[in-house]
Amino acid sequence: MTDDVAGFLWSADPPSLRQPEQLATPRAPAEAGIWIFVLGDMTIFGVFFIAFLVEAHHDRAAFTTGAAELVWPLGLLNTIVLLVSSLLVALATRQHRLGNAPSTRRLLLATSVCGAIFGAVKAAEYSIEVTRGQSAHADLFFTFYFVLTGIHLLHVAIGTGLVLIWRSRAAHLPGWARNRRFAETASVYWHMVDLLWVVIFALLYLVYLR
Amino acid sequence: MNALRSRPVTVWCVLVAATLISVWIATAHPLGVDGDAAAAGISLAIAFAKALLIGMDFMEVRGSAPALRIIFLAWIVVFGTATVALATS
Repeated sequence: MTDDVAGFLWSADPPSLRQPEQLATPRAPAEAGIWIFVLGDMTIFGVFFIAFLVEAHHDRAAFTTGAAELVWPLGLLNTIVLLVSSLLVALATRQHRLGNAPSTRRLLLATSVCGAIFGAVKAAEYSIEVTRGQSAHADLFFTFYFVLTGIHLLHVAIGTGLVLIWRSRAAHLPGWARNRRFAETASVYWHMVDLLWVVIFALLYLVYLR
Repeated sequence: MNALRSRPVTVWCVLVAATLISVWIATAHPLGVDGDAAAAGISLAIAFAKALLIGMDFMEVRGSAPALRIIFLAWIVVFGTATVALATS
């Protein structure tokens, strides 16, 4: 069954073509299971995005007021931080495929620092909003704000953990072959976190700013 | 130097530029007093274009099997179109 799903999602390359020396230009990253999870997760977020906009139609004033209260420069800062982290992960994947463990580990350490910075900025933002009297129960805009960003922050924390495990494995199991599955899974997961934030930032911070 | 000329770096530069453009459009757009809905739609369209780029290049969907590419593109088209339509209506 798993092989059937993999065959459906994946190219029909025989395993021999997915050996380490062939992976400089891979036919498909990671395994089918992570893609089923990622696409499912993206779809759940997508439904949230549509629900947000539908509710905004019913109470435009509350959503415009709510968006104006957000500190969009902090949202922009976190967007840049996640974009930097995605570049670092893309470069780490490349270095890992080339068998350059020290470089891979440095890039992944920098990625985890980006994850920590994102969390710190988000904590500062939550603190500002709570000080202003906002909460998940304040109004529908802030319910969406805290739920969407809170769930996303959990994804960032999980992604940071995966990156740190990847970094650890890169040290103890040199060579792309033994680490391929985990490294590509962590990479795809981290980029999904970035992808979702890109849309969340536009939706919460920019759409109803004016 | 080669790393600085690689495709991931080029893609990243495009993503950052698109982010700054979308913020400029949302905060200081020159679309006039009736242009807020258009600005909202453009900001979301840029966001989904960025999501497409992240998927195709960083998640390596571009080089994957057709089925995965189609499912990913369907997500971009369905949710991108729906959100832009809702934001501009």
